[in-house]
Amino acid sequence: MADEPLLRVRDLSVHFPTPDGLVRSVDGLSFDVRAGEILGVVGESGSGKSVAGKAILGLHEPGQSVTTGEIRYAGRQVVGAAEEELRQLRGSEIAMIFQDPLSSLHPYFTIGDQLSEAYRVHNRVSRKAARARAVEMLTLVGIPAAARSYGAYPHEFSGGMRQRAMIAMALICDPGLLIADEPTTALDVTVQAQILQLIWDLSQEFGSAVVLITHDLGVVAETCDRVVVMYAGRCLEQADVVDLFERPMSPYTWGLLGSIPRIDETRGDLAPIAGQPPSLIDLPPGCSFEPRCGFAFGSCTSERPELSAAGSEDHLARCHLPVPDRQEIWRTQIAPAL
Amino acid sequence: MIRYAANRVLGALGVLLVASVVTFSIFQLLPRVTKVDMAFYYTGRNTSPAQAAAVSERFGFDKPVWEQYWTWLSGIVTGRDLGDGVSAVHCAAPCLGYSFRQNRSVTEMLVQAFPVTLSIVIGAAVLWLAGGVAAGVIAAARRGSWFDRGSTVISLLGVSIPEFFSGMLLIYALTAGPSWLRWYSGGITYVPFTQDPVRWAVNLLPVWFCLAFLITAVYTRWTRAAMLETMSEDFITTAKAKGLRRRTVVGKHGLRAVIPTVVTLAGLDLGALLGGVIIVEYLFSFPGLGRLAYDGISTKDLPVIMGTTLFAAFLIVVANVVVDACYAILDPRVRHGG
Amino acid sequence: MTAVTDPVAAAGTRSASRTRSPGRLALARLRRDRVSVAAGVFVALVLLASVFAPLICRVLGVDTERHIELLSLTNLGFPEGRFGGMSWDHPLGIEPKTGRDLLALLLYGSRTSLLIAFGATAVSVLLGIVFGLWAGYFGGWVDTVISRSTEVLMAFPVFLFSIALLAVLGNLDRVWFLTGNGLRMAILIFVIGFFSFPYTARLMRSQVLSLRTREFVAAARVMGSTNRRILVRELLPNLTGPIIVLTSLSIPTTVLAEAGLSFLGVGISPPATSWGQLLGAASRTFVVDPAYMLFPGLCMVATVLAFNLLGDGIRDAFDPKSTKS
Repeated sequence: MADEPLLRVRDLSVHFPTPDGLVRSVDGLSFDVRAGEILGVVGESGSGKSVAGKAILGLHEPGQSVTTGEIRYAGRQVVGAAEEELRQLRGSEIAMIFQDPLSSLHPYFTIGDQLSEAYRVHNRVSRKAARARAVEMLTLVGIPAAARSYGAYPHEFSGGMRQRAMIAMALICDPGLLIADEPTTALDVTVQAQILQLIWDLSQEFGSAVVLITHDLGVVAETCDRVVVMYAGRCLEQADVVDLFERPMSPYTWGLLGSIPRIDETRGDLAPIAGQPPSLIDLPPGCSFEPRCGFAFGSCTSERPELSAAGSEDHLARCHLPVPDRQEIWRTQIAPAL
Repeated sequence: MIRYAANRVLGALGVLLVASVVTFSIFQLLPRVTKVDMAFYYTGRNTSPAQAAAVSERFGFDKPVWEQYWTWLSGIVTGRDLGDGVSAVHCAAPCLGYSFRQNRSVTEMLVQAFPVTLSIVIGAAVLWLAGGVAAGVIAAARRGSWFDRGSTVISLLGVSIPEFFSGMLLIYALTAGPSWLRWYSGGITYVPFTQDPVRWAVNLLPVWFCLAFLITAVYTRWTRAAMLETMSEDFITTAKAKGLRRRTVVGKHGLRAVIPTVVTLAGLDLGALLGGVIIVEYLFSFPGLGRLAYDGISTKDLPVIMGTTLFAAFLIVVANVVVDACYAILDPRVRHGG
Repeated sequence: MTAVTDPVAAAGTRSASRTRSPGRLALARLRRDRVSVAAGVFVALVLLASVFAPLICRVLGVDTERHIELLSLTNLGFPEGRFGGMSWDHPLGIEPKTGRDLLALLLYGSRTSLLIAFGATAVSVLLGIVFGLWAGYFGGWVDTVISRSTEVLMAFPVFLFSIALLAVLGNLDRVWFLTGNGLRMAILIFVIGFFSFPYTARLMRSQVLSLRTREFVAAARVMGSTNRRILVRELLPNLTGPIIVLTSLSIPTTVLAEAGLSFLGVGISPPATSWGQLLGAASRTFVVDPAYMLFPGLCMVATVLAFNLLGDGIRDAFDPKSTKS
């Protein structure tokens, strides 16, 4: 593992000015991604995870949003970089796949054309060579009859096949980082497993790092090396995946773990986290999770907690409760009930 | 694909049939409403009751309505003899009627008028398609710029200024206005292409601008709206994430997605286009289909009215079928859905 | 399972957004849009002017009497003086051949034009709602019949047809209790309204289709509401936004439709006036007397433009996602 992380995000904020107020979709987010690592970014809808993902590629329109903070990829600054610089990063160094492959692929161009195009943007090769590479990638991601599939349109494929094609398109220039924004949400459960396996396999084979954005803790547990838990635009906890599931150090994570339905046990009612996420225009002054937190006290309403070590150096959490107290609560109250 | 085409053609024939029924029945209304004998509309003279009765018998006005309809309809396909004996008139197929006032078959009049209207429509179409779509794309790409705001203003003006007003303004300016504008001091008349191509085009320019101004405005607004909507689609984000130039994202991915909508728009308001043509031909005194129809109406020449109405319906239906075919070519999703 | 969190009541009070009804939200947005407000004011002025036309005429000292003495005897009955005889007595000049004051004609003409436009819009929107709802909600063969009919109607050379139809119906003396100009106006309202309805019906139908699959309709049905209840109590209120937008965007079209028909001589004819009628009459003389064409034309264009701006503003107010610069 290299010392310098491949991707360094520090204090990232993405704000959208709207007539109704300033929407703080991402507010002071920090994390690292090391080369070859699979980082899961997990959170509810509206937690800012997709916005953060797009910000890494500089995909937010400068006129409609304000992005501050630092995003460094292999030492190069993304925030505030010129459009031409960003263009060279996109696709060749950092690639992104999206949630709905049907709407994310152009309906009027063939799959093959779109793949070739992705390749030729960053590589000066002939059409034939690009085509060959595209077919190669299609075969690699498990699409049968790749040569014929080259000339097919997106709507002719099934959901799983489309997502494979998107992955092929993303990896065709061999990027160092793949950002996968909820890649399995729109797919059947069985296909989900296949796609996740594919992402994992390709990450191993190509050595690319992956930022896997999802709302599904199960996906995270299956596939990721490290996890970032986001809530209302902020990171509330980040840790090694094993650490997160065995020793979670944030009330929000406890709530998340508690709300996962289990097939292998009989239980009473489902236990969601009561309440609603806060408005991103009207964020509470203190801890953003405080209104729904069963362990909130004094300073939680007024002071925003900092991200600090919780247990081990690699494990960070944002909570006012002292670490030993949290470990106690976890051991005695939460864990036994799960 | 074949089934789709067959479906559309069948539908078109159905529409034509209904149109013929409607045309026929409405114009049977005329004599009943005006309490003037049908004979008058066919002979163009004030006939005495005895003459009227004789004419009625000759032309079969005393026969039941559906029989008259059938005679008329089948006459369109096979040709027909009007009247009998020495003064019979043979109306060759396709027989759309015979105007006794002008002593010519309606078909002949249509054939003569059609090239004029075609010249007007095609020239205007080139203008509004090129101008309107281009303006709409640029306006959407440079949203909020001077060009965008300017084109919005001009578009709004364009849809608010009807052809008869802009036409009168143009004619006044070009024939009787200030000397530097008086380019057509000799008047604006139609010159057939075969007679003098240059003059044909020069004299058609004011007509083209008059007709196109309104429609260009509509196209600009629609294209701009369609482009703006398209630009917020997922596949545009994907295109950007691939590292494509902004020019390519808008001009290739964006525009291609919008073209079917624009084509549909072309087919949508052909009835309105015909209306515009009637007004323009009336104002500029160009001897096209519109003028023919109008003259027929003002002289209450029933065969002319019926013939031109049916022919206009035919043109619209054919144009709609052509537009549908284009749509199928441009949108692959339609081809496979049927 | 122990509750991890309390259902904290406080969470409810610090709620996300102050919810307002879509109507009020739209109104608030509309008020922020200065261009639309200006357009709205202009429209209101025009409406007031046409409603109070007789009063205004009396105040300004103009009337629709023929002032033949102001016409030139040597110049074929055209007004003496510049710009069609503009003067303090006749601020916009006079009409050729009849000598009537143009300002008065414009005021009374606006009445006719706007009345017909509003009437035709009402007919078109009402028909559109009825048939759109019917087709969209019930589907099946009803939908097929209605959709096919609108298709046929849209493929028809409607303008040409209305000209012919109006020429035919122009010979009617009385229908019911309507005669003369009143009859003429009623006929125009129905013809224009009827031929516009395929467009409105399609729009309404697609709106209904998108609403019909929403959960609140299924919920109402599960609760045992009859179809009619669902239509009136559930669907219609949700359609008021689109209906308002549709109405405001239809008015400019109907104004221009009446103007076009009257221009060609099959709409309003003298002694009644409308914008289209004035322009139609001007079409024979505008090279010599452009003022007679210019004033009614500008008046009409300004009004239609204002309606278009207002309609755009209303549409944007109801749906801010819709594309606006």
